[in-house]
Amino acid sequence: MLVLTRKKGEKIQVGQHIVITVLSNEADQIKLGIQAPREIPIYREEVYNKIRNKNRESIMTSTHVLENLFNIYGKQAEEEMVD
Amino acid sequence: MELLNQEFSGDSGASILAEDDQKAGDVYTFSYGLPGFESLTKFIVRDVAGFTPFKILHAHHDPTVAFLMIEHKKILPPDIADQLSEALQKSNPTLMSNTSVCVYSVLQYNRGTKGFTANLRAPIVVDESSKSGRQIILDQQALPMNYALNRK
Repeated sequence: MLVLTRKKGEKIQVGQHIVITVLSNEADQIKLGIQAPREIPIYREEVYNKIRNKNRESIMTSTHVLENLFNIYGKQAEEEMVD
Repeated sequence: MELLNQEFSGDSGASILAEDDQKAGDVYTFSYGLPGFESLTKFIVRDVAGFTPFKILHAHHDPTVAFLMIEHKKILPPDIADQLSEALQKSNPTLMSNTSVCVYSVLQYNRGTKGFTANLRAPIVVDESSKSGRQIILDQQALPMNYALNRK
């Protein structure tokens, strides 16, 4: 891991298009400003990890998922769920 | 049921898709993969026979990775649908202004009474025109990750 020391207001350039600015440092919290192209996803790590774990849990591992879909919603699912 | 059995075959840990179906449908590029599956960047969206609101998203090069999805507008009450749309619009205004975009929620089957739940906090957004997609994480606690998909 690269470790850099920065003061309030100082920046870190990541590649050509990403700039991270230290906005404030109070108590045990650091506030960062991140400038990056909108298409680059930026998330708090714990939020990203929650979705990652949820995706792994949501994988269809067998035909039982589709069988349950049929059993629960039946053929009329479409009519009931639209509108 | 017969249709489902014909189309999907396999045991736990193996492909749930018949070999011919693994290549069927348009291929969408997910440049950043999906959280947890970052190395998989090509996905196919398929219909579920007889269940129009439901779709299957499966990895083009890894048939063991497949998700059940539903168009979120088909399941959500208007207030939550509006909240989700606003959050998406705010996070990705350019993408969401595109009329060829479809928004899906990933479903999870929970054994027991819960049945299917939808993850509203990380919708899958697919752009039909550019054949691209991404999962957008909305950092809003008000959007549940386990929205119960009940019959009306």
